[in-house]
Amino acid sequence: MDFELTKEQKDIKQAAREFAEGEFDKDLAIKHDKEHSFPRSVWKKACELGFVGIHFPEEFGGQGLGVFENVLVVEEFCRKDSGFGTALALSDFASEIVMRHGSRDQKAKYLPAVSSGAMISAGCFTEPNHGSDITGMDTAAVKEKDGWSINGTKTFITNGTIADFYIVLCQTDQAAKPSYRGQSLIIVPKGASGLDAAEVGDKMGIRMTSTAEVSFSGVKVPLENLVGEEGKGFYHVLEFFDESRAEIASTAVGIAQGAFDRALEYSKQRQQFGQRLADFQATQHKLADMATWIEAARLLTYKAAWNFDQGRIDPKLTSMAKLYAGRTAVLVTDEAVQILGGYGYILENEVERYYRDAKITEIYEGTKEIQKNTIAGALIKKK
Amino acid sequence: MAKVFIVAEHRQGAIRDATYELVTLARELESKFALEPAAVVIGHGVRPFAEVLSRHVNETIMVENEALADFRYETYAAVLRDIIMKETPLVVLCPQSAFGMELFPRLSAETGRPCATDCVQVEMDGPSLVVVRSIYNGKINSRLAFASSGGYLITVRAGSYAPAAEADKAGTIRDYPCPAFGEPFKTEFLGYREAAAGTVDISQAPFLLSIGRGIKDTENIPKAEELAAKLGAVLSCSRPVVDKKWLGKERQVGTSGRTVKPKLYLAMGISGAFQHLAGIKGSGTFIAVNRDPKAPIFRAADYGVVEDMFKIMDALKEQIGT
Amino acid sequence: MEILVCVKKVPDTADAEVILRPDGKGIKEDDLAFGINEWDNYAVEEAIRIKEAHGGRVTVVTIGVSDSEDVLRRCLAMGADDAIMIDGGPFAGSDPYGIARGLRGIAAARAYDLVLAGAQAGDDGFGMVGPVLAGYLGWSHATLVTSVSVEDGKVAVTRELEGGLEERLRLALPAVLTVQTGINEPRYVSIMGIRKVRSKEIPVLDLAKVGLAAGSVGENANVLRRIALSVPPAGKEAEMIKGTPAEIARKILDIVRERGGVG
Ligand SMILES: Cc1cc2nc3c(=O)[nH]c(=O)nc-3n(C[C@H](O)[C@H](O)[C@H](O)COP(=O)(O)OP(=O)(O)OC[C@H]3O[C@@H](n4cnc5c(N)ncnc54)[C@H](O)[C@@H]3O)c2cc1C
Ligand SMILES: Cc1cc2nc3c(=O)[nH]c(=O)nc-3n(C[C@H](O)[C@H](O)[C@H](O)COP(=O)(O)OP(=O)(O)OC[C@H]3O[C@@H](n4cnc5c(N)ncnc54)[C@H](O)[C@@H]3O)c2cc1C
Repeated sequence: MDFELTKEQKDIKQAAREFAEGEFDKDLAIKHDKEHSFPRSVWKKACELGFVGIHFPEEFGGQGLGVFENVLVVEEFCRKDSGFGTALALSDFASEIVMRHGSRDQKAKYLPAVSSGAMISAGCFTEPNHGSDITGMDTAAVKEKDGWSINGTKTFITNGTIADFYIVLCQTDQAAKPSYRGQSLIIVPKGASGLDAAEVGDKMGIRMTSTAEVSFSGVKVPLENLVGEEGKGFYHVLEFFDESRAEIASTAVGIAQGAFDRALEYSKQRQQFGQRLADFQATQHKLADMATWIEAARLLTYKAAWNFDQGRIDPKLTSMAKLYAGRTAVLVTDEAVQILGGYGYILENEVERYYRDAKITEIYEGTKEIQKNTIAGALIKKK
Repeated sequence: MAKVFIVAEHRQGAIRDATYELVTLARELESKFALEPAAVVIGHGVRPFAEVLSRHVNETIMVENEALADFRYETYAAVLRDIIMKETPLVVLCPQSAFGMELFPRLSAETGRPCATDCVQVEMDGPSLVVVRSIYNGKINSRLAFASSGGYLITVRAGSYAPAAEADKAGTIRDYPCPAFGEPFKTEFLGYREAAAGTVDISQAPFLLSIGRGIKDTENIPKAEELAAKLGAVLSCSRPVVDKKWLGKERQVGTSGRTVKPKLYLAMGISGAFQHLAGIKGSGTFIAVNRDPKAPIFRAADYGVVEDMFKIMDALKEQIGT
Repeated sequence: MEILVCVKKVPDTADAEVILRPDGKGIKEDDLAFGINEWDNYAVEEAIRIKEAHGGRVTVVTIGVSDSEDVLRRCLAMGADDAIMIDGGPFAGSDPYGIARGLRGIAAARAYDLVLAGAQAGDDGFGMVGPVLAGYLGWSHATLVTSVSVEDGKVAVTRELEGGLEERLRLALPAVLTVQTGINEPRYVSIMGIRKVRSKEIPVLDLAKVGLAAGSVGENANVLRRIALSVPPAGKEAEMIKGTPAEIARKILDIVRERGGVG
């Protein structure tokens, strides 16, 4: 048992913090948030410094580090700014599927491009009729002699309108029983004929990211665009969730910490009834709760990431981390707004944005209910 | 009687103001602790300076030599070493400036006399010297004594003592022989370089809106520019804003920037380091906005506001509109 | 160019509340964020740029205890080649003379062409270590340096003077330069940089290794003796304007108008 970060991990955390402090400007954040735009220049700089794809193998443009190190970077980024942090954390979304299951050629083509800031990735699982339940997909890919032909619609796709390639979960065997045994993952490049993406519209939070409906109408891609094994797509996605949920949990921990920092500072300055807010026991108890939740969420998240890096898949643990961290982010940002009172409700004071950005962590990568299903499933089966 | 020497600082044909602040300090040491003040003027063509100083102190030691025309620590330290050895002053004072910072620590290493830099207060405690230094961004004062009592080298922060008014003493000027230098020199003076003249002259502005590191990012500069325009103020800043290249050097207020004398100085997000404050000594009304209630700038300002500068900036913009 | 850069870890006190310890001998450090002294960061960047342009090696050194090691690794990750830690234990409470004596051991023992340091440190602001070190070594020096260009066996530098004026000097090598902020734009630390230095050993040198006898540095050997710390006396305090931002703005505008500003 050792709760100490290694020197290298501490350095990484510090470097991520310095970068975020230098680059994540509040007004730029507000501008991107209002305009619903992706922070392209900041993302490029983060890539050049090796923050994006830190967990990719060195051979493929990464830094050869683990999900744990990725989690440390993402947490620091989101702590400094929930919007920039989330947008940068998701810029390589689902690339891990290529990293874990892709062919050499696929890895060589996509991973260095993603880590160097030349490409943005997207993972397309959710469909209008299949959200929490992705055991059957309406998007179908038919194997023809010269390639796959894909038809269907995916929705809520992060990076949908800005991605350079899409990793699409398709039904490739309509007859498979159960249906998820007939699913496969296929890469569709940007610009493919029949591919279309449109933003889903204004959203509550994480407004620096694109969220789009992506439709495939007779999209043709070569056979070698299949990622991993045919018929194993569903399993590959579940395995991916095991690491991506740790990453989403770390966005939640960072968002919570960032909101907490601001609330703590404010409570030491604001005077009411002749004393600082921090001198009211009611505020003190709030702060104590918030700090305790954050610490617990962080420990769960670190353990989940560490466990994955040990080569172990433990969906129960990653679900616990994401469930608890997501809850923490929502509760803590809520209390942070509360501590700032009316000022907390105003855009200018940031915690409002943290509050809006927190909620998604209880929805995507599996809603909190789905996380509980996973946890409960593991508990009961093991009995 | 123990002596206190003032090393006069001059550049480009003029005695620098800080020298007169040292005169005040030396006088104070004279009246309170019976030290005898004297001035030391080193350079080439410095008789006029010696004459000025001889109106302030009983004795002015003048070292006149062509090799001393431009200041270099190498030659000046050699001269001072010689003077210190022969004249054995108890205290030697110099401004904490580019001149003093270059010269005194080096002189200390070469003579073995202890040096305390950047002092804001200097006094005697019995036979020993005690100084106060302002540290941790002006938030803490540190009182220092010295392990030895054989003589001290002290540099004094600008603004710590009021400059001495004109005086009319009939002090003597003593021509002091320039010691031989151990050539070849290791340093060579090549010349001065004036900072590129910018488009604005903040030193002439009657109203300055001045921003510091609190502005946080280059992205926020337009906000400050807009407010300045609305207020009818000229925008100026502290040094970090220039270091980060958010504004041009011509807008920097302070010892290494410009000295300004506006009727009104509105500072936002500036902590109040002495190098900054030294640049606004002659200003009229001084308002400071800083979210840290303990920021030293509140000890210099006439009016203080403890608030987020961005809130005040926005509120000002709105209020001007109405 | 063999370059030694002296760095120090300091608390950030500009934006923080500084509280005296009850014994009055120091400040409470628990809540303060520590990092590389701002001036030193510029010095490290400048050294790396000189190396990149002219070749050679950059070594960073600090006198510190083990928790300063991260500052050294940070410099390595920026691009310094070697780092040395001088065990700070015996130096606890040292004045600038003690520090300069510790550094002399390193600078003298190896054939450095240049020693760079910050013009001052953000905590105690003596600005003495560089020029005192140069004095001990008998090397040339320049303080408050705002540009460096390397010539054959010499360096040309500009020094910052007052009022926007600079002076240009040429110094014989070896030399000690103390760097002023704004001389360059320090780079961010990259993950590649961190990885490159991950297995780099940072030797810790004890007093004997820097040629000093026990008891020759540290608080008891100080020339400058700290008697007490105190919170500066209130003196003149500004008249505080209170209220909502709108109220404050109105009052500020009243003062502005009184002084003849804004119509
Ligand atoms: C901003 C944003 C970005 C996204 N990015 C991506 C992306 O990049 N790629 C991608 O594929 N998807 C993405 N999604 C989709 C996201 O993963 C889904 O929204 C999520 O999985 C839930 O699906 P749904 O919205 O269809 O809700 P539903 O599945 O319809 O769920 C509605 C409610 O019912 C509950 N519920 C459903 N089933 C159960 C059950 N068995 N037991 C208990 N409760 C249940 C849910 O928890 C939820 O509360 C994104 C969504 C958003 C909003
Ligand atoms: C030789 C030498 C010469 C120098 N010459 C000069 C010079 O000419 N001019 C000069 O200015 N400096 C000069 N300096 C630097 C000087 O020592 C200080 O480092 C500098 O003045 C600090 O600038 P600052 O007050 O803007 O920044 P800081 O000291 O970092 O202070 C920033 C302040 O902003 C406040 N703040 C932060 N955010 C907000 C917010 N949102 N709302 C309200 N307040 C906020 C903080 O509380 C803090 O007090 C010189 C230094 C040296 C060594």
